[in-house]
Amino acid sequence: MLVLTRKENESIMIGDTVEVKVLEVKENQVRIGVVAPREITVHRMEVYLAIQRENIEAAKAPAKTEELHKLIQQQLK
Amino acid sequence: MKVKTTRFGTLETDEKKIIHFTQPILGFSQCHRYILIEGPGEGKIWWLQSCDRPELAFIVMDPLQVVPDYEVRLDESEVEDLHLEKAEEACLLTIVVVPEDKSKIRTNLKAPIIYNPKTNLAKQVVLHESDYAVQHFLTAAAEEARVETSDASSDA
Repeated sequence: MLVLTRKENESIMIGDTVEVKVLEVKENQVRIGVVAPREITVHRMEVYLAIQRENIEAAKAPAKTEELHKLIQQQLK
Repeated sequence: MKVKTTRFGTLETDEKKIIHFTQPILGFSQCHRYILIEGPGEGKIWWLQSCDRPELAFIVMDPLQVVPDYEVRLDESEVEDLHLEKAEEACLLTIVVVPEDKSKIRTNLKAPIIYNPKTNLAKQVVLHESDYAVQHFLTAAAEEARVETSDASSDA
């Protein structure tokens, strides 16, 4: 892992397009700003992992489509 | 165009109906093309079937069925990315998880799929600033239990 020391309002560039800026440093919290082109998505790591995990769970949906629909519709009532 | 699927057999689909994801669904980076298959009955439930992997299909639903005031704020880049003329033209779908324990059927309100029916462009967006849950249970009992535990843990 590349390790760099930065102060408030200093940035790093990742490639030619992504800027990561340290906005504010508090006791045990750092506010970070990211400027990136729109094809690059930026996520909090734990949210990214939670959503990826949930998508993978969703993809395990059983094959019995009719039964599933009935079940879901019942729960939606 | 023919789309092979494990659940629905081989489907003959008009190429114009293929939905292109500008960003893949997280965890499925190789799959950009899907079709929407309407579910039986009156509930607003569909299958989002991958055109690239026959076995890959997500159950998706209209989130307004569980949260009638569900609201998504799209930022400008998303409106542009999906070629939306107006944000109101977007359709919202949320992915449903059906685990072994059928009392725990849930939907992901934190990361809905935004879909532009005019251009057939879609993406899964993450609502960073919202309090919507990744796991919102469909049954009131399971959902209340979840909210209680998450309240308890945030107090700690």
